[in-house]
Amino acid sequence: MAVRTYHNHYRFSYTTSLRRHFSSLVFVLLAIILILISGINFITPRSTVNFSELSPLIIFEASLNTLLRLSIAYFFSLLFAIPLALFITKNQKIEKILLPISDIVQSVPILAFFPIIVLVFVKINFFNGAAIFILFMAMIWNIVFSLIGGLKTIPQDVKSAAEIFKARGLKKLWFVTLPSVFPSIVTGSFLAWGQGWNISIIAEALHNYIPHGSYSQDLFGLGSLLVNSFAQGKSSVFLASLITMIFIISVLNLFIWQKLLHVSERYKFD
Amino acid sequence: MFQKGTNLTDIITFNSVNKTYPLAKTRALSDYSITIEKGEFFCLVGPSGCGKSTVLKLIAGLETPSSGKIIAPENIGMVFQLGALFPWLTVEENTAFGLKMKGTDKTKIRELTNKYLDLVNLREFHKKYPRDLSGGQRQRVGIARALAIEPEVLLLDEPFSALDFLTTDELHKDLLNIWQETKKTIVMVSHLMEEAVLLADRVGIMRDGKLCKVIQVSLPRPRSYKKEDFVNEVQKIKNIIGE
Repeated sequence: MAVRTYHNHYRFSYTTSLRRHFSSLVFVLLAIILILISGINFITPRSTVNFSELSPLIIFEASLNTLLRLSIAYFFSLLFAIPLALFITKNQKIEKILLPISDIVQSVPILAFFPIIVLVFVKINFFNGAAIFILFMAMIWNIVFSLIGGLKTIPQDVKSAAEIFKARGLKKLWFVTLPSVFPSIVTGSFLAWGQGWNISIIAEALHNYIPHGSYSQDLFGLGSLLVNSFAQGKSSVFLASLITMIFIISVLNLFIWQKLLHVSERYKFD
Repeated sequence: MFQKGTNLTDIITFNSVNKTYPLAKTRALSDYSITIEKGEFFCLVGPSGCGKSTVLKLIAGLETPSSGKIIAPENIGMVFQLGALFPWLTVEENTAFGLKMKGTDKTKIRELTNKYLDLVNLREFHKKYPRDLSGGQRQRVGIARALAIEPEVLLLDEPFSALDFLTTDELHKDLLNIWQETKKTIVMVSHLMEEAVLLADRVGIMRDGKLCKVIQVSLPRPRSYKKEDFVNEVQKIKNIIGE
């Protein structure tokens, strides 16, 4: 097997890493299924589980919906996080003012604002907007702070080299700054998606936040499926949704994030 | 007529330059005047914090003087202490970086990149990444990258200070060959008097942001650390710094 080493520290290749992660995935999935089956059997006796509720197609569609919401929220997070982090670190004076502000803003629990945000979007009849906005707010800070860290650790000599070789303005951004912070973007995005999956469970169950809301106002997705199936005691749907979510997260981890984390090693300064 | 102290062969002129960094209590450079001639190998020596690197930054345009006048060409190449290569680019791409930023056409970039990678003996490593190279090889890439833009002046900021003795020795020889071949003006900063005497035509001795003295090294090349006149020359510099 040809060993592709991406940097000095990783002694194993990407294929080995894939294999390891795949076996861990199978192991984790099996363990979770076993724990859940036993747990649910303990809470709800098997006789009450209605297996006819479970449709793979519905869960698949729900997954796609949630993935789409997360992707849109992530796209906007990245789009806003990069200029914001660049602006915050632009000079020391700006940083002194903006960094504490963003520190406070990011530490305010976003879910506390959720009811208000939901109502605003409900007013304009844009339910998806509420979920995407809340996901966006939850995701962006991971990327912003990771980026600030990355921007501040670009070696001075590398910045000088960019200057000497006339990499200025957009050229500097594209050929020097963004590659320099690529590892931070990957780490921040990885964390952002983790946060996004967490919040998706709450962000799709809108009826909880709408006065006199009903289940029909919820957004169709894996998150609302999880919450509502459990609330209505449809454990099989709950179980299937949960396994699907873990499966999707693991597949994304395996084929996107692990790959990107490996590639990003090539962008790190010694 | 030309200003006093400048003539056709002068390429860099500092006229009563002062430099104070923001928030710093003391001046990094004070009343600093120097003239560097076209094609010469000039070396600045002095203890840490004496302002050597500030001089290079001012020549390169990375810093602006607080007062005084600097005349220096636009097209300048620089080699950094730790290479400052871009880790995501191959040796070839690193070398081509400055040319790409200038918008040079692809054929010309390839031609110049190959030329300077040949000059630093790294042609066969062109597809490697900086992390696959030794410290000495990285500095060679740094030199090739700086030369590829065909600069009028090549600046070197303690380029060999992080390397072992044997590698440094080899790079000294290579740098002299490159200098003789390309006839570039070289301004190098070093904290080693021996290195300065080994390489330079003239050595500028600095202390506390001031230029104490400029010494003409008239020893014939190739110079050797062991010869008595070499040792004497080094001692002369040490005495000036110690005064």
